[in-house]
Amino acid sequence: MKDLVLYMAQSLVDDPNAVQVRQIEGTHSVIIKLAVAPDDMGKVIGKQGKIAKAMRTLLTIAAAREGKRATLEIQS
Amino acid sequence: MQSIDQQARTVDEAVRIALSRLGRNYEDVDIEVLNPGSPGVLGVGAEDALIRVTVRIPGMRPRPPMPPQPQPYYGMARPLPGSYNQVPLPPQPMLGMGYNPPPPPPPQPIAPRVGGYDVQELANIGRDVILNLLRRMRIQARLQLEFHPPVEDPGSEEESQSPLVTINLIGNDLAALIGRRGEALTDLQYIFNLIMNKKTRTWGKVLIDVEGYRARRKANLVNLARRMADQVLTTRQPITLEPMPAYERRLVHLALLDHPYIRTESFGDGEERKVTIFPK
Repeated sequence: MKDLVLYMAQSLVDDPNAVQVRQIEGTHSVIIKLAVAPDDMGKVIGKQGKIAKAMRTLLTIAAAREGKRATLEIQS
Repeated sequence: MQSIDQQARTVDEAVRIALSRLGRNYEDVDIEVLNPGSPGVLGVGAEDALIRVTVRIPGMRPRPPMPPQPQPYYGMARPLPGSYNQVPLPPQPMLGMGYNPPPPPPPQPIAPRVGGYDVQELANIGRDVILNLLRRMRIQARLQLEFHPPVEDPGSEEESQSPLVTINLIGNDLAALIGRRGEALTDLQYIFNLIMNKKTRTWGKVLIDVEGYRARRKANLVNLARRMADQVLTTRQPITLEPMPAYERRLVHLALLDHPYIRTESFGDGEERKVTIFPK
């Protein structure tokens, strides 16, 4: 799940090296924390959070295949 | 046509081995992913990737330098020097020197170029991107490519544009990728478009479908559009359809574009944007 978010974020931003993803695993849930360069925040959030919403959809599908609920947190 | 199947741990590796077996470069071949493979969980359930590599035009290419020439305009077409990193390959010894070239391919209409890429290149890049996404979602699918002739876009509407290629994903258990009323597919397409745009500066030229969902939906939408148009003509009252994503609104516009007594327009923002059908 972490690798999915990492791939998406690195593909979207201008500074892929600054992308950091942490995964906090629970029994039934998982939290993915994404950090990007300040100038790239818009690239992973989008207008009205549209990009973040789409990333969450894909993450939810990936997590469901492992029987988990996933949360994506984007850190500033 | 020379064609080989190659199995390896990953698709990338299979491509590398196959190219070296054929003594060909990435540009010279079509790659069909028969099985994207799976890394498995802790080594359990791991599955090799299987690809079929077909030599496209033996002996011809590498790609010719692009002369500046008038091109049909496809939306965001903007020349961009190769931002797409090809699979790095060591220089290949020319194997297969004694290989008899098959007859030249039948003459084809000149492939449209979008943003400096031809359709096959866009399809290849799209295939890489979607496979990268699916692999990380632990989803296995076969890819089926369908190429479309370019379509005139309805003028002023800033709806999504006509795709040149559809990549149809086929596999078991892909319903999640479609989602309720295709919302998951819309999100998948959006992320896919963003990544493609970053790589090629094109937008919406490669369409993702899942198990032919879009194709079925398209037939339904065209039917709906025509039925509603008939009703509008009978009652002389405009009809507003339910909210739809850009791609579906565009299908409705296109379905009624040539109708002599009907015009269509979209209203509303974002998720709430709807097509209204008017008598002319």
